Amino acid sequence: MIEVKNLSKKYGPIPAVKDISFKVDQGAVYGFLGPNGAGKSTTMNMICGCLAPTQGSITVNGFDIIGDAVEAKRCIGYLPEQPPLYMDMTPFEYLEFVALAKGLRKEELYDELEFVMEKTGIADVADRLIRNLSKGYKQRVGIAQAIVGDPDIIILDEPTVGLDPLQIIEIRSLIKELGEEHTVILSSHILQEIEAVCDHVIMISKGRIVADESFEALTKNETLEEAFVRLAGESLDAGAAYAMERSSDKEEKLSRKGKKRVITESEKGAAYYEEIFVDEEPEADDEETEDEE
Amino acid sequence: MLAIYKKEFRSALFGMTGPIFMVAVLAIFGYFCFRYQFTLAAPQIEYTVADSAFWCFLLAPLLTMRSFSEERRTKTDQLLYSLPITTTQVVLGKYFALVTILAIPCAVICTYPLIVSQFAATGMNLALAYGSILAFFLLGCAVIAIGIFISSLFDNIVITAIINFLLFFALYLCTPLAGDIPTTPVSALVALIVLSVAIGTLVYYITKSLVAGIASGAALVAASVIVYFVKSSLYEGLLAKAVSVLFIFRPVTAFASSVFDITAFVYYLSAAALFVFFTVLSFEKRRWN
Repeated sequence: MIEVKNLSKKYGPIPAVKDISFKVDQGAVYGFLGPNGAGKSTTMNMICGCLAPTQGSITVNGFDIIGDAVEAKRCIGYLPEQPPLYMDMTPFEYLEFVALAKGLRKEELYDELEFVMEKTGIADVADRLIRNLSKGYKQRVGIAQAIVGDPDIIILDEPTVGLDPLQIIEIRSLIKELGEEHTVILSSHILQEIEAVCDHVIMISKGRIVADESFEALTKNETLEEAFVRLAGESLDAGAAYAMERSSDKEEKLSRKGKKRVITESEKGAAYYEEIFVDEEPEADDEETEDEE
Repeated sequence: MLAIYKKEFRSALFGMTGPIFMVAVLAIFGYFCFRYQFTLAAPQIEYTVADSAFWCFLLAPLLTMRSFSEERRTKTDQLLYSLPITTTQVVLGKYFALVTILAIPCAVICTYPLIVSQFAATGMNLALAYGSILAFFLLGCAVIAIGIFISSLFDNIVITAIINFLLFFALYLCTPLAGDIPTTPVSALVALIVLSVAIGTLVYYITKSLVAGIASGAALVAASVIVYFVKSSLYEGLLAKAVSVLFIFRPVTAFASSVFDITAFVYYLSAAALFVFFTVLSFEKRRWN
């Protein structure tokens, strides 16, 4: 279904995704797991054609996302991290626009919209302006635009962020339902969410794939949380411990201009975060840069 | 493309900016029409078109400022990139929607020559009148193309509008400026060298390759210098000519001199096509950042 080969992305000189490869097969819910800033959204954006990779290739159902972009995108429904909604439209108008853009014919259009709105539970608010809807409903409209046109693959980037517990439960059950008929890739850093809905876990940390196996295999000898901490280089755990230990320890250091200043906790955290997430192989990246030039 | 067109057209027509633009065009054109055709009793609509064009399209940035800036600010551009449509279709859909908004007041204006001809004592040249209205419409198309291109460069709609307004005033000042520009070949050479350096910088900015930037800039500088030494007469008055060509509001005035100027149509269509193409490149480039 989706084949990602040697994919890299740099924002200027900063590498966000480094040479990752994985495959997504038909008919399962894939969890795309990783700490904040690990490269999840960048990878999702590249798979959906929103971003072009610096290196590597992505094929969706055999279509290259750059070379056969239109055909490849026809197979994908995508909900980005921030739902891409037009606030001055009603959900019905918005979904009608998306369905037409996805190439649905007039005769099948309205049945499809009715089905999608029913499935995502937005039929009651179909004629209200999107700007007046609650966050939960906006998220549902975002999911509705992803599934309209019945694409083979549905990609959801952190679909439950900012929702209340009840809405989270509803969205999760909707994702499970979608997983019965589609291939779903769900990005999240919430472990319970992955645990609740995913059959397969792809874990990314510091821009690299650190795990790509079924949920059962990954959690055979340890919990998902333990696996997450171990595979993410124990970075988050260590970073938190560092901040806790030093919370009352204010130290003064000389700045470049020779003035004394207090190093704040947030600065320490940021420094530590940089230390953790900074590129570990600068030589390799330098070589890549030279090759590009 | 049809989906984008419908959405944009509906959004412009039922939003604030579309009606304001249409009313402003009709009001300004109406004012000039009243002044020339009724107060001065001149039947030539061409005069009205020539003098009102700049003021009519002064509000065009209001229409175009949101087209791409707003998409990027609200992150709805991600939807456009992920839909199974090409960037060219997105840009053309948006562009033609705004052109349709412009066509509405132009269609109303098309009735004016017929009305005026009922009262014209000396008779009127309808071909010239409709030719000038067509040039007016095509000028609007070019102005909209420039507007959406500027909108594709910035995230902030206020900055987009201000830059667009400033550009229009700069273009408006081109004619008086052209008269003051030195016509010597040396001045043209200096201008070409500055332009070559600017192009080299642009190439570096786009390709991020210092070698490509310096090579393209140096090649253009060398070509300019060689032409100067081989045949400097080519540079005579070149700068003033180039500046006057930039005055986008000039060709539409040719009809007021009783000349049916087909080159005006070609000029505006070329400008529109060029800036639509630049917009496609700019929108596509975002994906590669």
